Amino acid sequence: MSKHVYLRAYMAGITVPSAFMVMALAMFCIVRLGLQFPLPIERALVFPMALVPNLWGLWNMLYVAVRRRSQVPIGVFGALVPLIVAPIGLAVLRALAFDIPHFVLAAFPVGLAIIIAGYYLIWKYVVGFFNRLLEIA
Amino acid sequence: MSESDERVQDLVRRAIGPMADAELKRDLWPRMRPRLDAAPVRVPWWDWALAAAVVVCLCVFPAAIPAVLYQL
Repeated sequence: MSKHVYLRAYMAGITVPSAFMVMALAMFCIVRLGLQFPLPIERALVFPMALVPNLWGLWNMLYVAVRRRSQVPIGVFGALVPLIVAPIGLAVLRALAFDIPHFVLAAFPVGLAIIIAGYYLIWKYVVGFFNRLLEIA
Repeated sequence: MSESDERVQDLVRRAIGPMADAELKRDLWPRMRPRLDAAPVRVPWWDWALAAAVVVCLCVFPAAIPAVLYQL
């Protein structure tokens, strides 16, 4: 199974955020449409729904390419994703003129630390599992 | 089915043509089974500690939850 390594890496990478996206969409329907939450969340949804899964797929492809030259732990490599995703996410929110609630901005540094730790664990165990399953690792 | 539908079907069939060698060479599922049944990965204590720290932080700083969800 040595063909299409990068395609398999892409598919292994997008699996986690794509699965999460379904739950996020359900939560959006409940919060925004069901509970009539007065914040235009749908404007912000474009980032997690369209960009994040593709970034994960591309990052896993990059991991496969990098690993051929040096042994980088997948958890550490995945923990670097938020350093790229977070600025892009903030830029998208600014471009869409989305008013980020102040309490969310205030907690952003803590949130970033949590995200980095969470990404480390998810990449190490979940994406790593998919990579092994697809014979990429 | 109308005549135009049949004509469209015919055009599509002729444009795409029959797929050659569409069947798999071998069954891939037997190769997948041992990988799924393999021994579970052992999680070191520091990763458990990190996961616990993430949960504790989310409980202490619930305002960070939207930022976390946004990045997934």
